[in-house]
Amino acid sequence: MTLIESESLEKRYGGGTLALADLTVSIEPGVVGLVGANGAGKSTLIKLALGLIAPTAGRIRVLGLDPLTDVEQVRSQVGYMPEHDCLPPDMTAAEFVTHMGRMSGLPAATARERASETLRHVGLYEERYRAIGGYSTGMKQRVKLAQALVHDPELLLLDEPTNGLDPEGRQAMLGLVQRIGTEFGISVVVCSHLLGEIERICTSLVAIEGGRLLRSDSLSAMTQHKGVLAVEVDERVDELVARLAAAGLEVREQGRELLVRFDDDKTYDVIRDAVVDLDLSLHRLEQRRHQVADLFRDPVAGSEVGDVQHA
Amino acid sequence: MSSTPEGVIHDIGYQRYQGQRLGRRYAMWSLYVHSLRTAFGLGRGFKAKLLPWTLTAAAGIAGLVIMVVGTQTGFQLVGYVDLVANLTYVAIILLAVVAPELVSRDLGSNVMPLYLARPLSGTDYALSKLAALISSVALTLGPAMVIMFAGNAFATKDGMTGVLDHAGQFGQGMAAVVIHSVVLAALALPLASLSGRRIFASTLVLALFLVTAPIAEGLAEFSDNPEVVGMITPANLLQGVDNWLLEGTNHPVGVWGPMHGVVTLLLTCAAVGLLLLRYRKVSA
Amino acid sequence: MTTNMIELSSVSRWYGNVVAVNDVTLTIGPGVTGLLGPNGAGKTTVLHMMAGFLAPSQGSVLVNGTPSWRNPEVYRSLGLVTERESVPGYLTAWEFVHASAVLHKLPDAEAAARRAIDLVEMGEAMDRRIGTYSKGMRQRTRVAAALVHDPSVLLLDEPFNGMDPRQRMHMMDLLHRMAGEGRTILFSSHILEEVEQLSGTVQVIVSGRLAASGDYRHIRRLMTNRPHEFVISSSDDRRLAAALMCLPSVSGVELGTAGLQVRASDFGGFTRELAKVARAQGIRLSQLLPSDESLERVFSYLVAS
Repeated sequence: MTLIESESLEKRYGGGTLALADLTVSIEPGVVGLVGANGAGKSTLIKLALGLIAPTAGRIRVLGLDPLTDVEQVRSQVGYMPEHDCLPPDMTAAEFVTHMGRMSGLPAATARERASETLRHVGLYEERYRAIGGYSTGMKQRVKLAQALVHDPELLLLDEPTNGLDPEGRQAMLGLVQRIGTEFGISVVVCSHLLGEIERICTSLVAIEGGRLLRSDSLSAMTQHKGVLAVEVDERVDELVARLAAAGLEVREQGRELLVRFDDDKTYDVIRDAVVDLDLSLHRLEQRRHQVADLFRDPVAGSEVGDVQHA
Repeated sequence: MSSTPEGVIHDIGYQRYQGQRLGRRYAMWSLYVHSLRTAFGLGRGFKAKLLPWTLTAAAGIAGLVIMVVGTQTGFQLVGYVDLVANLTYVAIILLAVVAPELVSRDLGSNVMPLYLARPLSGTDYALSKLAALISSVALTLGPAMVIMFAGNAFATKDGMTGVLDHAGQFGQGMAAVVIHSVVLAALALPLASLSGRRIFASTLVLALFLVTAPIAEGLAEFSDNPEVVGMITPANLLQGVDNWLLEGTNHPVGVWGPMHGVVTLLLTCAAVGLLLLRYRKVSA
Repeated sequence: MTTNMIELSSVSRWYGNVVAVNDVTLTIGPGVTGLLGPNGAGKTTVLHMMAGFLAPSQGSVLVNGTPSWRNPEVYRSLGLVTERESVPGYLTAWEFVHASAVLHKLPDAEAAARRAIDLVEMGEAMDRRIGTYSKGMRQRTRVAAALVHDPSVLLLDEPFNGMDPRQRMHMMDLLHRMAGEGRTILFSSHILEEVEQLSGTVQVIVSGRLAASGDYRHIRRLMTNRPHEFVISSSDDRRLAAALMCLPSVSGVELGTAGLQVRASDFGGFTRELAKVARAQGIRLSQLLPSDESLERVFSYLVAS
């Protein structure tokens, strides 16, 4: 079943702001990244998906249902984690998540059990009986995730789940989202501005810009090989360049790396043998891939920086 | 019996939920129960319980004193219905504390998006909260009525007729409790929902009831129809309604009774309308 | 050599008993440098001391050779973009940047404002109110205001917060360009992905202490007590694994789904031997990835140790 499907979806607000324009997209199950939509576009799409607002044109289906007419069904199968703080400081996590489970239609006893289980799965143990007000940002993000997960939704909408976290918290949250997608078997749509995070955890990606679809594709299709090998050695780069060129390879120096055109598997052997013959240290050898960031790069201005930055 | 060692690893991984999902009505009921518990500080610390329980106890003690004096001396200080009116200030303090607790907290800590992403709508949310607030006022005032009736019915010297007489008065008193609870809660909740800061919300609620009272009094001095100008303060308005609809009250409003009734009805409807409008705006 | 330089020597800053910055000595020169650390590590305090907002409790903070505290002269060569947005929405970008030029008492405020706005590529939108801008545009406007007097040193506190990918890339291009002109640019961030893309040179602060300075790959190689991790793909992973286990520089090998994971206790030895071993065994090497040389790994090692 398609997670979210839209046809010529348009949303224009009272003031004339066009948040979404002619958006036709079909989001398949998996961990899906939603990028590029800053402000209006992103939150508008979430509100449309939850049936909180009506589109001005076109249509949207969530899990095959119309969020405007099948409000209850859609919302009981969707979990939503907002970007900003949304937790009452004077309740305990256990109490709050239980309450939210009941709000999603879980019977009282089930809500209590599932709240406890869900909090354990997101990594909150004894702390769950303390008031949320005393939690760290990382713990609060976990509670926000737990309340979206407590009723076992088919689809989880996560809005900037790593917002405000430091590197360690970020990594933990990403691991969690990935687990939800794979182990728990729940489809996730995650909004993020950080393309590296998207690349790491998502199976597919939807890029929206100016309210329009920029691209929707699987991540593997977006990060295909470029047909270029990156080679990094410690010293005597010139000698290696000369050597590879002599073997008929096309070589370009960029920053600390050599970019070698990949012709066929023999290219690998030529590089290996050149390194051995020159008695060099090989620090890196890899197929260069396209990056999600290429989507947003201006063809002229960005290309140079784009390649250097990966050095 | 085999003696081979046995072992098993249980799956405590994530479990999908196949059971039933109850709908909107259940969510509303749950929210109502949750809010009512919150109103009386159940499941919370001592501080949250202090005020609502003190007020309920105060109202109960008032009923007890009147009942004891009445049964011992034969002189009833205040009737059932008038006691409810006299307890209006207790209700107002309760509302100033509980109404913000019920709605401002959710607004202030930004919990609304989490509710609205769930089956229940903004209107459902507002109505559940209103029902909880009405109930909490009724639960604060009601016990006083019960105490008065129980004591009087027990002590009556007129046998069954005495009991029935008090039952009638008790019924009138409970009707007043219901009317007062609905009207006061309906007026207080939209005010409290204007601010996410509890202190502001409390101030707004108190202002409605406490600022209008002296103004009404001042205006009454210069007016030919003090009953009419009195309507600008909810306490007087409700007394007028009591006098019109119920028996045994001491605040006659004469021919103005129906007008009090109509104004109260309009005011209540307007307040509920505003409340619903407010929560429609929260959702979009 | 004090132009375009920020120099901190034995700088500490405490608030009562809370030591926010503890005995930090560092030098930052031209180019882009990332200032990173966990939340609350003292990054903002360091930036504010550099900008002269705060006096160091101990030690000295020099910008271009002169102390920054209580020294308005420093502002002639220093610009600061704070983390908190405080741009008046009712002004246009032009008014805002121009006002900043006037406040700096620049001889030709008009020209300076024009130049700064062009630098951040806000020329087209400069007559619209700031309130109508996207987050990225507001941020660029603030950078323009901080750049109006053409400072040689620019400090930015979390400049990418809340920006979408394209805004981020514009901002990165801008910082690169300015660094290319020889300016000193120091930006703080707790998003390592950003730092990694923008600059290899970092200053890492952990609980107020300077934990490491320099190129993060180099920093990684200095951690000799921690085996280096590599992921290798080859035509015959299992045979290569057996051969690698015989190398004294290799401390562990594991066959995984992603390929061969190798832990090398001697970085130099291993990288020199690998290709030789592969050739001797007749194995084709298709990938060698130093998997723990990312800034993220380096950072977590620094924070943990």
